[in-house]
Amino acid sequence: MLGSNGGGKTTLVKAIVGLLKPKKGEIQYHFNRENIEHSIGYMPQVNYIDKKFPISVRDVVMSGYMDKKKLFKRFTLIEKQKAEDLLAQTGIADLKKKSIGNLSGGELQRVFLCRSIISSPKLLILDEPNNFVDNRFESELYELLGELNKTMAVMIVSHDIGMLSTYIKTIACVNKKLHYHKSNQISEAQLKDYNCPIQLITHGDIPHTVLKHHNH
Amino acid sequence: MLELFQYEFFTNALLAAILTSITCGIMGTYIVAKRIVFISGGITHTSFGGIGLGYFLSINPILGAAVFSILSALGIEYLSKKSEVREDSAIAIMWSFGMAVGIIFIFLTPGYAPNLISFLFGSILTVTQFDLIIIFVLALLISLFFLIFYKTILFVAFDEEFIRTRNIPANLINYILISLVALTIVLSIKVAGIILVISLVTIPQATANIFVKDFKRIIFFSIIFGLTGSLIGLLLSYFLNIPSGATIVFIQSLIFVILRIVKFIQN
Repeated sequence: MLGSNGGGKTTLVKAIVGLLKPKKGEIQYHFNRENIEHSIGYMPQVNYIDKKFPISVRDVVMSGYMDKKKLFKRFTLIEKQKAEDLLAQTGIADLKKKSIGNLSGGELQRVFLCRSIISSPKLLILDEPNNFVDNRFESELYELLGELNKTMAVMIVSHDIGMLSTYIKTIACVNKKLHYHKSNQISEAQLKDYNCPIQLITHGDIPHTVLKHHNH
Repeated sequence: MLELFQYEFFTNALLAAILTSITCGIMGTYIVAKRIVFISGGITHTSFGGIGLGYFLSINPILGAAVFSILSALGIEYLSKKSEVREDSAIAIMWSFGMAVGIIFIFLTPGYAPNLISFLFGSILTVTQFDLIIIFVLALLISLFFLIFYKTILFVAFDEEFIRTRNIPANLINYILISLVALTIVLSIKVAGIILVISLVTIPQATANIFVKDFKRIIFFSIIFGLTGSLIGLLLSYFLNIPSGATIVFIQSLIFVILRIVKFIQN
C-alpha cells in the first residue's frame, strides 16, 4: 500500500485491524470472523513504543498469542517453543531474555515481526517496516516475507516507493481514495493519475519499468 | 530491642510497613513502567480534599480520601484518552483543587484542629487495627489481580494498541489498575504522608531497576528494597526519636544512592 504521509494509509490499516470503526461503509473479511484476532497479524510502527519499558523480548513475542480466551489461561509449552523457534528463525534467538531497551532498531523490528506472525495469521500487515530497518535486515526481511507469503497474504504499507521489490505482486495507491493496481510495476504518470504524489526514485538495483497508461 | 514488640503500636507499624511494601512494590512497578508518576502525584494530592471533607462531615478521613482519589484517578484516565485535553494541566488543576478543598474544610471543621502534619508527613506509629485490616485486604486484592492477569496487565501497559486489536478490554483493565493505584496511595498515606508517599512507589522501583530490567523481577526486588528501607527507617526513627515517614523515605533514597554508586564502580 503506497501513499504519501497524511494520505490515510495508517487510518485504513487501523480500520482493517479493528482499532477504528469505519464512519461509513463496512470492511469485509474473507476469513472466519470467529477467530478474527488471530487472522490478522499486525506490525505497527515501532517508534511509538517506550523502549525503556521493562519487558523481555520473549514476552513481547508471546503477547502475539493474546486474545480473550487467553485472559485466564497460561501459555502452553508448545506456544513457548514456537516463540523460541521464531526468534531463532529471525536470527535473534540469543536475545530472548534481553530487555527490549538493549536492542537496536532492526532487532526490535524483528521482535515485532515475530509477535505479529506467531499466531499464524491469514493476513500480515506491516506499517512502514522500512523506517527502522537496517540495510542488512531489509533484504532478509523481504526474503522472510516471501517465505511467509506462501501461507498468508502480506500487506506492506509505505510512503517510500523504494519498498517496491520483486516480491511485491500488486500495488494499492492510497491518497484519500484507493486505487488498486494489479501489477508490481508502476509509472510516475500512473501515480499522478491515481492522485498519489510520490516521487519515483530508484534505490540502487531495484528495477522499475515505466509502462504506458492503461485504464482500470 | 525485643521489648519493642511488646508495644502494640510498634507491631502495628511493623505490619503496616510490610503490607505497604507489598502494595507499593507491585503498584509502583506499574506506575514507573507506565510512566504515570505525575498522574499518581496528582491523585495523591487530590485525596487531601477527601480528608478535609471527611473531617468536616465527621466520617473517616481515609474513606473520604479514597473516594476523592478514585474519582480523580478515573477522571484522569478518562481525560488521557481525549486528545483535546492537555493532560498535565488537567492533573495540576486537580492536584491544587484537592489541596485547596482540604485546607478549607479542615479550617471550617468546628472544634479542635485535626493533626494536619500527620496527614502531610505520615504517622505510621498511629496505625490502628482497622487500618491494618484495610491494607491487608488491598494487598490481597492487588496480589490476586496481578497473579491472575499478570500477562494481560503487562501487555496492555506495554503496547495497548496492539492488545486492542485482539479484542482485550484494555479500557477496563486501565480503569481497574488506576483505581488500585489510587487505593494503594491513599492507604500508604499513614506511612509516609501525602507529600512523601510518591517515594514509596518510585524509589524501591528505581533501586530494583539498577539490577533487573524485567517487570516481574522489578516487582519482587521493589518489595524487598521497600521492606528493607521501611524497617530500617522505622527502627531508626524510634531510636533517634525523629519522624518515621521522613526517615523511611530518607533511608529508601540512601539505599538507592549507595547501590547506584556500587553498580557504577562495578562497571
